[in-house]
Amino acid sequence: MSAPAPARPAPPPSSRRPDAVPSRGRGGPSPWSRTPTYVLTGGLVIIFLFPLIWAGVASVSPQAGTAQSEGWGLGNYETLVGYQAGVGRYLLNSTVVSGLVVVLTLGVSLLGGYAFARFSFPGKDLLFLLVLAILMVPYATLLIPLYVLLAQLGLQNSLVGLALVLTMFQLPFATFMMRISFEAIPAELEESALVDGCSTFGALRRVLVPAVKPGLVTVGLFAFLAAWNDFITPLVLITDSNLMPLPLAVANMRQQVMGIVDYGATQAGVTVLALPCVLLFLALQRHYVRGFMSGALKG
Amino acid sequence: MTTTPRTRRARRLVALLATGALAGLTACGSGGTAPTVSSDAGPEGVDDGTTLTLWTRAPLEAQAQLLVDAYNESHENQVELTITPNDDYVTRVGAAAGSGDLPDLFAADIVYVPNWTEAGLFADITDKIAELPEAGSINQGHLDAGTYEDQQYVLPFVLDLSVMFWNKDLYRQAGLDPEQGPTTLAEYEEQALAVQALDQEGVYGTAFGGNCGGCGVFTWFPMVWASGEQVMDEAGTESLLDGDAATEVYDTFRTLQEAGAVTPASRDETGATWVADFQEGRVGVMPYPATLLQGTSETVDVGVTPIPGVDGGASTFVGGDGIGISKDSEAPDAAWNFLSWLMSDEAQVEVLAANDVTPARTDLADNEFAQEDPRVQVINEVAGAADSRTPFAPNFQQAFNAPGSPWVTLFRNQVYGDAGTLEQDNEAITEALSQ
Repeated sequence: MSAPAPARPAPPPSSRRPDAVPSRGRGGPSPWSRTPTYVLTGGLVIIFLFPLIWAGVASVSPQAGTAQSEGWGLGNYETLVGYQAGVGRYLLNSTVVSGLVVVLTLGVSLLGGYAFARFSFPGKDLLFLLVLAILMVPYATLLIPLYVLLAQLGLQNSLVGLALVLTMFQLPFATFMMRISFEAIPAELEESALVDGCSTFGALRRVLVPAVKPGLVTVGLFAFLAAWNDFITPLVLITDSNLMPLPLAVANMRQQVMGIVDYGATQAGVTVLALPCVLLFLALQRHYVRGFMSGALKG
Repeated sequence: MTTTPRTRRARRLVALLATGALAGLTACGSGGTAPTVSSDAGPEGVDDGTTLTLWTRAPLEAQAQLLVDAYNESHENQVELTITPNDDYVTRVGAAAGSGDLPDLFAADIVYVPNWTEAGLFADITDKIAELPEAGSINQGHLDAGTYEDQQYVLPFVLDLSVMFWNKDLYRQAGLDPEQGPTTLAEYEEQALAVQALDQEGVYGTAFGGNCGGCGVFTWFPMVWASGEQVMDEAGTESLLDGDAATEVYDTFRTLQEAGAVTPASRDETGATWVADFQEGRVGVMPYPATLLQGTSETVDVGVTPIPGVDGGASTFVGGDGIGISKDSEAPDAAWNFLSWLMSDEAQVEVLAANDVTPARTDLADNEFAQEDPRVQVINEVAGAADSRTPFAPNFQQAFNAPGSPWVTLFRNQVYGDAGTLEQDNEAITEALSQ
């Protein structure tokens, strides 16, 4: 009982996109009619980018009470580099955890989404509900039991254990997203692959994975951002200073005696934290938007 | 700031759960077999290459790192340091205590120590402390805070004191003696008003954390002590913050506030930036954390004097962290080796004093490093002054430090609101303390 296949073939992913938004680029109306668009989008850009740019500027500007008390310079970054195990180590930890989370999330949600979309097996709806049920519980409440559980498995205080827990919290959205992605693909595509002699895994690998790529990118990027920025999970699960991911290290570093916050070091940390996310988003944003559209078009 | 309401809510949830775990632990009593430091290991414990774990909170990272590095270099035992954000430290310790995962050694904000000794998180080190040759000179405030039912559990790790800072440049401009800080509460008021009278753009007489309970505790309590009065009764269950000296303190700040001599930002200051204006040279005189002397001296010509009372006197809030051996330690003798070294001249002078941290022993106040800077000497001496205190109460956090605590309500009413509510506000603190 797969979802009703759309009668009309879904539009090829790339060809129609440019027409969707009427292009006013070349040979459109006069520049004047475009001005409101530019003002609006420009304003939005400023609103969204201002905090990021401000953090970057503040991290190198002089401020009393920080490592950069006189003149412009990289004093705050030196604090960051010299703090405990050093920023390189923390970046590495964050990268390892985020990478593992992305790989695990993609692997599980790809197979899970495929199964939920294309196969019928007893208890399918119940199982899907169960996956979604992870969303129903505020995740902070699960952390203490998980901490005890991981300790019994010998996985406490390890990046693998942390990645497993973060992956679990990603699964409801990821599986849901991948199910939608698979259901948006006409069943005929897969059936013809089977007729041509593909096994189900072969069809998945050769035909379906390329077709759900936008969905995979979306899921992967989401998992990466969530794992990269997560604070509370490593806070509870990681006790070794050398295994802390970067957000935890930055949170530690900004604090001084009597609740005073070192804003210079904080801004430097935020800048280093934000950079990979921004770059990744820029690199993948085209696929990312398409991933959401594929879900939306399915209706 | 980087915390979103979502993470804050998440954190609160975790904190709640951890407190639950801690409460469960307390209810069971210290039924488990707490480790004992064996007496035949000698006063210095064992140095046999054991790997020890040590937890502390983030604000004291610099000092803790110095100590750990120096210890690791000179000993077979190796200490691994773990830093936790201040706001989450209680959560972390609570969670670990519940699952029996506490490190060998852990430090705690000295005002939380009574709560944790009562919950049985530390091992009893009474006999070992008595064996120390330096036992008589260890900071009494910290030792008292770590004593529960006549047993001692905690030694001072790092001291964090409050003193009066003033900006010598602004004092010169205001025609005040730049080498002479306030010696009474009235002088503090006068000098703050004199700086305010300069009428410079953005320059104010004084500043304080107007919405920060911890800042108020840290800077105003010493004013009461220096006047010879107390803020709580012995047991820490009744608030005495409606006394004569306390009333004088509130009046002083109210007068300064009404004269416009307090930075406008003070009103909503929750603690993250309460010293920022002074660091930028825009405040004349204010009570201040002594640990920040070096950093602040980079931008401001700082004078230092003890916090005075109504008619003189000198006092400080002996804050900072105490450290003890945890109930879960498997190598208490090796852990004691770190603690006994911590109290030695080597650690206190060569590591702490050399880096301008106040030694935790009164006999070392006048050390070679302090002699280079008379301001450091002032700070060291006030740590052992008769009126200096480490206040403790089982419910200290809820009554004073927590956001929106009855203490915050009290002093905000006294400075900004209806000053007539002192008695009932004080009553509310007593209620919170005795819960």
